[in-house]
Amino acid sequence: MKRLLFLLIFLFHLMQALGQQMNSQSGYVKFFSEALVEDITAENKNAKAVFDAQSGEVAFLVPISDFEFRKSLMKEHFNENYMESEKYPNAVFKGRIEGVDLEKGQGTALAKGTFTIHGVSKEVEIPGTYSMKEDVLILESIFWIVLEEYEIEIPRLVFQNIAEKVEVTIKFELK
Amino acid sequence: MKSFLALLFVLIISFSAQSQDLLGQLENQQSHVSKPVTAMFKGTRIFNGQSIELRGQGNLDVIISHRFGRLNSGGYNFFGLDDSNVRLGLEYAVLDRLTLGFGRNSVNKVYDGFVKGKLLEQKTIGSPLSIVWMSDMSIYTLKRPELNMTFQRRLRYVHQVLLARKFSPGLSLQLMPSLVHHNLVESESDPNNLAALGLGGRVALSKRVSLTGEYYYRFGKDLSGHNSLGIGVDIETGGHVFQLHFTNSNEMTPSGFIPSTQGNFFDGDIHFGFNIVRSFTLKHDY
Repeated sequence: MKRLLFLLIFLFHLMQALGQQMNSQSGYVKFFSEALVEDITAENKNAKAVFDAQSGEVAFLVPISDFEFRKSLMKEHFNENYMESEKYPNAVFKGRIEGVDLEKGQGTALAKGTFTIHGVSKEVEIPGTYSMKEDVLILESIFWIVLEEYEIEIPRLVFQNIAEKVEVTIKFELK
Repeated sequence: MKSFLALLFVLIISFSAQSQDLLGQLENQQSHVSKPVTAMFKGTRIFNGQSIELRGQGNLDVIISHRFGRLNSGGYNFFGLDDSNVRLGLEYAVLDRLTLGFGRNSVNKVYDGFVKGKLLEQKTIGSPLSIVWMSDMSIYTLKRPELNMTFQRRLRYVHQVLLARKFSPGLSLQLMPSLVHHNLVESESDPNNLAALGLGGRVALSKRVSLTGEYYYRFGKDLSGHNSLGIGVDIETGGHVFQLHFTNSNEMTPSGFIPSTQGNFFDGDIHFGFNIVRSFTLKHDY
């Protein structure tokens, strides 16, 4: 009986270690769209991430209505007309990051998984870098999103205002 | 044995907490975050009266509005399009929650100015509705040589509380308790003070096109004229909002259309009209 108890306690601790999760509540996401008439930039400092260093499993969540624009009306149009953020409040990524070696401290990694934007899910692979500073794991990446792939419609009238693909920059500091 | 069971229980709980999907954890956290509910209406006007909308700080709206003559005035008058009156308006958002506006109306040569401030904002968790205060003053400058028109006699005031709720992305409703004061009224039977209750709404037909409606009920006995009523369509194309509508009012200031709408909507005394709103950003957020 005692032995069993001991084993259970051991297992319990093992699982704690196994399930070690790193979190970020204030991840940074920026997108940039270069177009004929007007470049559009928006920043979001409320993105969330959780990463299980042991298994490599990762999840990101970006609240769409927290993107801030240079012009306030752009924010309204972004939410109402393009992202329909009341219907699809978050962009999410769920998958695995391969190549993170916490002991090595830094390097390149590859995130593989499902990206869901505007209610449309796609399997993607996104390359990025990681670095370890004291207890903080920093994940960074720059990648492109093609709006059409996520069924984000741009009406012909405003076609010149908005590029068909946007550049996304992310930086998450996980603890 | 008891302690063993307790331990097992703790173990199961902690195991199930850990095995919860990582994305599920984030979504669960995010579902407790309260967000402001925005874009109840496309324009800062439903069409005649004010909507709950305010623009962001530094935004200047230029609003050009027309009301044509009555549809039932016949083909000779090209169903009212031969007559038109105009309001030219400017609205500047001093703060996110405070807008100042000015306008000039061709009907009765009225200058109007208003202050509009947001008191409460609807949230996804929390406040169920938004509340905006609006005070409007207008100056009637038409020459009336038969009367001793002092400056005081030319002034008119309207105070409104706008209460609005966005029930879904497709439906917003607004109530507008209103007080109208005319320093000088047309006849002895017209009251100087008039209370009215407005009802407005928006139904989104698509992401950029919506249907709007606006009605003002006036409290009082034997009031002359009719209650203001209209339906319209909003079309938004980025920096512009086009509002096309049919109403029985030909005035565009609240001190005009609330008390003195002359047309009977159901007899066909309907004016076609439009507002064109162009937004300019004078001050950027960064």
